[in-house]
Amino acid sequence: MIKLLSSKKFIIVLIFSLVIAPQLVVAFTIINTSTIRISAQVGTGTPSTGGGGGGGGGGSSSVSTVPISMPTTVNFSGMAYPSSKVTILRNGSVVITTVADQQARFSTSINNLDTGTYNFSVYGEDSNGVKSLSFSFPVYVTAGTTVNIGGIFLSPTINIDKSEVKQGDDLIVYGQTIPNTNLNIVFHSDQEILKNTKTDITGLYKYTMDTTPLEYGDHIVKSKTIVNEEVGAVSPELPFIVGLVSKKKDNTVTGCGTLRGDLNCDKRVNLVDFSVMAYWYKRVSPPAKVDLNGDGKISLVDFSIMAFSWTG
Amino acid sequence: MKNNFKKIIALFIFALCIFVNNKADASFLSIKPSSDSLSKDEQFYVDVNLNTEGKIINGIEGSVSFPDNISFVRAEEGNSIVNLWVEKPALSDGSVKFSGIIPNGFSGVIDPFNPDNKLPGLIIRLIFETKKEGDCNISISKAITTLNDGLGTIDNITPTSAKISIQNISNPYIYKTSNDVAPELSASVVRDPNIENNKYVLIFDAKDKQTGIKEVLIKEGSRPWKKIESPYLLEDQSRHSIITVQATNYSGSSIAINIDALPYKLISFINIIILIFILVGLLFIIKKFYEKYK
Repeated sequence: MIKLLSSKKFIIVLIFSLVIAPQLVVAFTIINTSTIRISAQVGTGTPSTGGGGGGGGGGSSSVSTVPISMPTTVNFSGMAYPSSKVTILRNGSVVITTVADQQARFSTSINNLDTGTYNFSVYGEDSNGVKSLSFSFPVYVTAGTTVNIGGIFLSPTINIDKSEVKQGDDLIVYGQTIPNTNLNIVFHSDQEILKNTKTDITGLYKYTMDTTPLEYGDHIVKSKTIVNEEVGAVSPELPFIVGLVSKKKDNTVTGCGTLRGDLNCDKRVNLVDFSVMAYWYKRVSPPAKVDLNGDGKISLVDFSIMAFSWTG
Repeated sequence: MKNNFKKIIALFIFALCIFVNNKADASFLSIKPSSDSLSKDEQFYVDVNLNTEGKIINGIEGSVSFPDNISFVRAEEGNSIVNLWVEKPALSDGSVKFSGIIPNGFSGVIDPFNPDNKLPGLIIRLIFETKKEGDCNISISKAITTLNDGLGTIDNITPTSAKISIQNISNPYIYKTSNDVAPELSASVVRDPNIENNKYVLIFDAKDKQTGIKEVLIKEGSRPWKKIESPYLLEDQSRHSIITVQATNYSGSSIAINIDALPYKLISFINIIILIFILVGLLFIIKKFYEKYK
């Protein structure tokens, strides 16, 4: 045992365990928000002492003495999908919607806020109505300041044509992101398989995967937008099965849409759906449609699943 | 054999490190009292803050326990990062219980002047009043958070507590939060097969940026004011009453909104024709009776 504890290999493993493993755990739980820049300046349209305020210059800030009662503004800018609808939520309620231009750029502002903490979220919808993942920004806003949240890069949307594919048949992976960009399609199988494709002028992409090299069983696919040879954004993961028959993917979760938590089938997850679930909280025998994790009761877990898909 | 044993030991240590670290990086709640040394009959507050340790959290529930030498006054959720309460913070079985969600998740408050340093988020401010001298331990005994991963994965929170001491001197003090902002209120009447058998219910969202909402009242037509919670089954299922909803915050400011009644339906053309036939028929019968018994 003493010999084992003093061996070189053991010491290397020990160091790896103590230093690298903790980093892995943290890395698994943090979303990639590296492109987002947040900055603030006091007042608007007044000379400032620094240079980092407007446009979100890499997180720098500038402070200057300004007259009282300047407007309070939060500016949002980033990339979505060409001509797509972008929605901004404030504390869970839709506060503004805008449309991205043909290059997928969007920018919008919210004014007249009081001092306080606001949880802003941003999501987009592609040309097929598929929603991106939501980006969330809990920001402390001080009256009379301008906050710039720039560099928002909405995740690519993703869809597949089959939920189960017969080994050797084609699986079509498609979605939308920014136009004329490279994209990685990643298949998580026993070994990770990486395929490259490119979006067209409208930001749409489509990749036909020959499933011959995929093993029988469960797999996951996701897409990654590549900008300047770096990963710009990552789509949600979609599961599929490689089996003996091919089955067309049913794009409904609850029989009325793709959003988990859309209990009244209006293609939104908002206060109405929350109220339906709140009605069944701690009541016996909730409807299967409301009990999102199917454990026979409505608990915080069901509300959490709903909160993930929240559209306002 | 010896090599296999080495591998097993190494693997065990690696797994142990991941497990131990995962525990250490669990999000945690902190309890911060306004003062740790107080007098008798003095009101004070305790802030319950969430530090997510880099995780994205979208649900939280917990219970705050306290001894009997202090009494619970109220909970203020005005500045909370929780946007929708499943259970509003309230006293139940001797402890303050709360449960709520943060749509799309929360990973720390961003100060735009220092964006790299994320700050903990306030969950609730609890107001207590001191009663008897002695030490007082306020603790969060049961609390969980859920990850914003679409699966509702539960992340347990390490129990935490704060200690204050109460001196044997009386210093009556009423804690008051300044509030110069009116509450916000949105409400609508909906019908859904999954609530109250598809009957009309009122749903609302009342928010106040400073002290929090004290109560929400409803008035349906000439019926008296009534304190309600969302969703609320309307008494007038005909929907012919004007509904007034009023939210009041703890500093007494209120906001009211009206929801129009449904208009009475006009009699359709077919109904008018049927009515004319019935009237003509009745007149004919009356005429016949009149002629018979004249």
